[in-house]
Amino acid sequence: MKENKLKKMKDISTSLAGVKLRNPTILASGILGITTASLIRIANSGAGAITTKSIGPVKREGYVNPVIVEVPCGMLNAVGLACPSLDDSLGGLKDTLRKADVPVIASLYGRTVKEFGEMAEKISEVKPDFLEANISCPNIENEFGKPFGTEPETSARVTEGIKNSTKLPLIVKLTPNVSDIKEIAKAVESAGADAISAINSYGPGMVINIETAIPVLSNKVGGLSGPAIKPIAVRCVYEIHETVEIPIIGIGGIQTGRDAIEMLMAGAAAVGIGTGIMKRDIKIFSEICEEIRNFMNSEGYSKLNELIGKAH
Amino acid sequence: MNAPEMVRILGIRTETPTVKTFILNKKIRAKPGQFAMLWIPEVDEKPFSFSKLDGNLEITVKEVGPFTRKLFSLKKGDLIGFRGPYGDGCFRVKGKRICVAAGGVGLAPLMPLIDEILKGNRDLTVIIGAVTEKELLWMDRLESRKIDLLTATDDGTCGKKGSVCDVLKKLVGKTRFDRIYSCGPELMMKRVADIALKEKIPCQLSLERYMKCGMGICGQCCIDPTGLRVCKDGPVFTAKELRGTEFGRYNRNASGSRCDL
Ligand SMILES: Cc1cc2nc3c(=O)[nH]c(=O)nc-3n(C[C@H](O)[C@H](O)[C@H](O)COP(=O)(O)OP(=O)(O)OC[C@H]3O[C@@H](n4cnc5c(N)ncnc54)[C@H](O)[C@@H]3O)c2cc1C
Ligand SMILES: Cc1cc2nc3c(=O)[nH]c(=O)nc-3n(C[C@H](O)[C@H](O)[C@H](O)COP(=O)(O)O)c2cc1C
Ligand code: FES
Repeated sequence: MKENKLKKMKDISTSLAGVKLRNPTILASGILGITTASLIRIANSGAGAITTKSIGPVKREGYVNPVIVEVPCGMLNAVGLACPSLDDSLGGLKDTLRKADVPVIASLYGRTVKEFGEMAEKISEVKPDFLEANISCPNIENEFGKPFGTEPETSARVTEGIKNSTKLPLIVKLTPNVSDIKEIAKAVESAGADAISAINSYGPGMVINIETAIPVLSNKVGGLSGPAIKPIAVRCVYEIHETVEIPIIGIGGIQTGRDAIEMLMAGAAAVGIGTGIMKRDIKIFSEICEEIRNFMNSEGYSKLNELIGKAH
Repeated sequence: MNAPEMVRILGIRTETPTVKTFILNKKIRAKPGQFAMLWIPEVDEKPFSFSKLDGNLEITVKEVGPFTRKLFSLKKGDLIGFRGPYGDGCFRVKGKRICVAAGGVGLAPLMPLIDEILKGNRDLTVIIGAVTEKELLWMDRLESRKIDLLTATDDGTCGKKGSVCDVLKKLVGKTRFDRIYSCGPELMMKRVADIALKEKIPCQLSLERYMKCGMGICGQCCIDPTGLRVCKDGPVFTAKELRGTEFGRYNRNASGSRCDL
């Protein structure tokens, strides 16, 4: 019994750019991250870190409903980067930082390379534990042009611009919708990124309702997330791990402890969880931690570190 | 699957000058208080509670803006997108002496609850309110059943001149209720909740917040400071769960900005 309890408490802490996480599960950006109350509830339910919904320069309502639609093995979303005014977002972030007992990652986007830097400067005043640059949203092409993260040079310029405006550790979030993600990873590392999140949603994809012959999402297209993209995410993380030294947050389709371990073995130091909440609700964070511990116990691992990059 | 399924509108009933009921060609097992996301292609997708659960589902809608106006223009035989049922938090029948307090179209989600209450041996008081007599929903349907029915109208054209809360306040002084259930405009519900908390009567209320995903993923409908999601953890909450929260004070619009009530 006593031994069992000790095993249960096995240390699964990890670290990202010098910041310690009590466990490797992170709430991914855009899921239950609009309000402080929601973020704190996720932290209290066991996440190792929490990421805000991407904060933008101006108030946006996002797209008209439907903004999500489930597909076999995942879902499409085109929320359209909805956010309150920057002042309201910063007020919310301050409140979140005051109440959170886990690291807070502030996700941000800008409409131009320059604006990414300006956003970083303003958000840094509130002192989140990390900035995360969302250069990879696949749903806003009509309005914002191709995501910044599809070209190594632009990705590097955004990274550099942010690094020149902040002292905080910077995570750059990459899109899988490129022919060579290694190039992008290399470019953002050289430009000063402290960590990489991979991946944002895939696609975009489309669902057409055949009774009406009309695409379901009001934006017509949306990013694919969930189990459908897990193999792509694992491959991306594996390739990035082979290319750069900075830590990786592996995101995409994680629903179980086994999924998380697969991502760690591909080279992630921590894992982001989003769509998995649709299936297992917010208890997913504590349950995945428990499942990781159980696996480590039964397979004879003593530290999380032993799993990271093991597949290489 | 959380994707709209097209269902046919089997019939439409006009209930009041501003309220219509839509009978859907859809039968599911749902609980009182649960809702669905209804999609009108190329228009929008919005949440609506079920006003009848046995047999074909019904929803009862008040025309308040662009989406409901479009819904009102649909005809018998038209298709509408349906996904649901949603809401883990639903009405749970308990106790012997029960009071239901409804404001306007807030009576809609309470109808399946009333059906369930009347299946048991219980004393039921229903208070309904509206701006004027013509807007009172389902007077005849309620009057014909074993219900103690009380009404309130803002203009005094039927029953007490004033609000549902005024009637409830008087009533709780005389009758000891075991449970209060309520739905209606939020400021009305706030007063109902306050009365229930003061009198220590367990109380459940059905809330509305702006919804996008409707299934607990996007975080649009969370309540401060508990973070409970109206779409997933609600839409029905106890008065205790709502005490000291944003309930009755503010909500959030589509961008996530706060709006005072
Ligand atoms: C769980 C739930 C159950 C509901 N059940 C019913 C019902 O049974 N009958 C009924 O008539 N109404 C119901 N509503 C309210 C209904 O969803 C709104 O009246 C409708 O969305 C208004 O749309 P509109 O374009 O006509 O009006 P608008 O002018 O767009 O809005 C009018 C009001 O509806 C609210 N609203 C608008 N869009 C949404 C949205 N996406 N999610 C939530 N609220 C919104 C607005 O905040 C505003 O207060 C319910 C709402 C919720 C959250
Ligand atoms: C509804 C929804 C909204 C999202 N919003 C954002 C966002 O604002 N910023 C961002 O960087 N990623 C956003 N994402 C992408 C997720 O953070 C994540 O990278 C992706 O969904 C893959 O992980 P998953 O399969 O665990 O969901 C969103 C995803 C979903 C499903
Ligand atoms: S509407 Fe998305 S979480 Fe409730």
